[in-house]
Amino acid sequence: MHSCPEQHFFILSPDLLCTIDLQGQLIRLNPAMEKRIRGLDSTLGKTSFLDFVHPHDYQIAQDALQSLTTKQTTVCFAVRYESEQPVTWTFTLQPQEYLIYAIGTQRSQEEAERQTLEQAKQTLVSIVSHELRTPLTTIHGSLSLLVSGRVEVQQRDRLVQIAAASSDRLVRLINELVDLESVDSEVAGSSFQYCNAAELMSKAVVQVQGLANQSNIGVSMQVLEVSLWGDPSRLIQVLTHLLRNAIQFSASGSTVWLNAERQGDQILFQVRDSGRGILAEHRERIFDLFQQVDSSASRPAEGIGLGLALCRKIVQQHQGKIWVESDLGTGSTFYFTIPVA
Amino acid sequence: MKRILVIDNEAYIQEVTCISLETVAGWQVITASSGCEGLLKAAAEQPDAILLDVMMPDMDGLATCQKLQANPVTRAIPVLLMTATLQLPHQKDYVQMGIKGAIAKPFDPLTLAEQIAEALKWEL
Repeated sequence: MHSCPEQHFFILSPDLLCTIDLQGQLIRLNPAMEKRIRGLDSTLGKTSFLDFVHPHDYQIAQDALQSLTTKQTTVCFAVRYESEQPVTWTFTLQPQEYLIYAIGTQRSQEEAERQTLEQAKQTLVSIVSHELRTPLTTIHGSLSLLVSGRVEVQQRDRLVQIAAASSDRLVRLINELVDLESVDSEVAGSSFQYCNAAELMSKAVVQVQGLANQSNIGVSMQVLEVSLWGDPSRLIQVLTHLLRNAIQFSASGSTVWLNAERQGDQILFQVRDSGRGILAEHRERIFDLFQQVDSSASRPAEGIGLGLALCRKIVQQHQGKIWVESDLGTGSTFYFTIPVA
Repeated sequence: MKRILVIDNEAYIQEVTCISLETVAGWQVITASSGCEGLLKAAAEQPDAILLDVMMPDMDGLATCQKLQANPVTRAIPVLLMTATLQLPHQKDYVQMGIKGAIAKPFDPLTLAEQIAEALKWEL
């Protein structure tokens, strides 16, 4: 028996094709549709189109199904299955057959990636514009008040301090942005060399000593004499950033600790503070550049900038891991590992 | 003399706002560093207006606004948003949330009091 050419289209189509009765029961599926739903949890015993749809989108699919009448014979909607990638469905009702012909198109991988990138870019612009505007607001505000000549001597000194500190923050932010870009474009390993963990730690502590003294915070260090293979300036940058954060979030008179220990073929660095700690839901996100600003526009911590995203990039380039453990009220410990040379 | 509650997690912005309103308009400024602290101070101090930062960790400006509205003690206090982003709620949601206007960051400290007075129809 010869099958008709339409039959081949049905079998070969990369789009999802199926026929559904008016109650939503699946009648016939093409191989693409079968493949799509076979991978889902417990397909066994499920026979309705609606059974496979993601619970969040169930109502959408049900409404679409119910909207079909002899007057309105087509409906278009998008639903998710278990994965995040939605499928766009066009349902066409053939009233005389009591059948719905359903065509589902899935977005290609590239298209999905392009959209993710686009979203990431928008989020970055929104973070950066907020992070830039905050110090800019205080610099602009302080200078305008100073220039106006309307403030008293005492306030004048304070405004100068604020403007100076804010311009430092602005400079740091711009540097971090440039560094993020350059870490991205560097060929991993091109500036790697043998370095001593103890030396990196000492250099990082020297760099934050001024800030620590200013904030009346002690820095305690337990060095580890071991050799590693990495980019010394980038690793010092990670240590410095973690130390600076620890100092900033600590109360005057307290101590921050920098330790390193060997664990098998890894060196485990630790930067501990006794600050206010980080909420559990923020612990993962603080390293994630694109997750810092969520839809409710709330951030895990003020002035966190792009530094931790940069730290993670650098540590990952060294085949290491970075994470934080924290108890609210008792402080946070940032850990990262670098393989021993 | 007006009393303004400034809710902003950035300490320097609080300070500059404070100096600006005190020097230029001679108003009194109360500050709060988080939405939570802001709710308490709004209820306790009954300021004439609240300057509220939108982007704050933990409880953001809009969430704070909703809580201010939900409490009969703070409902009548007019709120002005201070924001570094342009993503503001729609104008029609403003009224419901008791928001009387928005001030963009960076703001001009010399005309900030004027902007507030204009939005709230106060005589300076």
